[in-house]
Amino acid sequence: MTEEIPGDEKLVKSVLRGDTECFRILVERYQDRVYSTGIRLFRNSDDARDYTQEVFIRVYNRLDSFRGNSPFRYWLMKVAYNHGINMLKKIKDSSEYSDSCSLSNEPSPHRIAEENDINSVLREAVDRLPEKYRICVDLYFYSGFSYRQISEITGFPENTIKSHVYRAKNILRQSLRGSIAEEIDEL
Amino acid sequence: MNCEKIMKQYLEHDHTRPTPLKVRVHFMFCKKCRREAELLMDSISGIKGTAPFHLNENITDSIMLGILLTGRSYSRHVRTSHWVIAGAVILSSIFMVSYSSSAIWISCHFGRSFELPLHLVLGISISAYVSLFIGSLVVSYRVKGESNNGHKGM
Repeated sequence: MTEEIPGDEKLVKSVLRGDTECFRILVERYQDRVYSTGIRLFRNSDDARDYTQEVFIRVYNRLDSFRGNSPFRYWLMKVAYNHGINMLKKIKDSSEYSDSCSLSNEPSPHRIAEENDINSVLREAVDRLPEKYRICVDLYFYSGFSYRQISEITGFPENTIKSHVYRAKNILRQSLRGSIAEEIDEL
Repeated sequence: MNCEKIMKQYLEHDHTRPTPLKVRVHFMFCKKCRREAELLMDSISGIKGTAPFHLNENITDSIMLGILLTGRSYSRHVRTSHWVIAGAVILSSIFMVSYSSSAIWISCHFGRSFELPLHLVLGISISAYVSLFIGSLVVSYRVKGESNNGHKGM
């Protein structure tokens, strides 16, 4: 017999009824995605990890304001993105942040080896985009948000998002072309 | 040339929405474009729900500890409106039971020896219900007060 995996909204309801442990499932489900947003914003794994912790604590404290009008993952990413932008502003104001921050600690070499081809191609495609728009491509491909939702989360115009996602898709298409050509030849 | 135009349109399209009719019609007749689109969509859907970067360690425990330290917890309280509705239902049931045919029949046969224990039971039930209601209000106010103090302390 297979155990039913509870949906996000069901878990949120359980947390609001007092079952705090249900929040653990939500953390485990989304920590990598929030961490990825952190990496895009802060460009180093230590800050991204601290940011991930802060986001989840903030989300827990505000959970009673989640009305359920939109999916939980959308609400979560909106809170995460806004918090990240505010943190960045604070860091920049206090002049602690320098643009020379690099992704020296991530991703680990073994992780790169584990990544599949599509991930590598997408990473390459994303790396060709301006830094501040990379998060849009992540939200589109990995989180499955629509252009409008991404625009609402990030505040970027829909057309800008569309053009960057298009560029990423085109790179992905070019890389897949070889395999298609082989397939057509075989036919 | 037409294939390129269609593919451009397909790539520009938001894939969370239905594919435009023009593109779908083209795919029906062009095997190469259809295959290309299928491969692209397979690749995209393959990574959906994952993340481009992964934490090297599981930080769930430290997050849960952080939550515990904030002192905020959502209590298992019943909404006041639910208490009031349930109370009203109980009161109206008590009132109506005296007029039910079976109550009248029992009353005729047993007289006051029936009415006294019945009213005692109903009185105890209503008192227990009101006590629980007041208790839940006190607990919820106390929890609110503690969480407010916790936030001020942070």
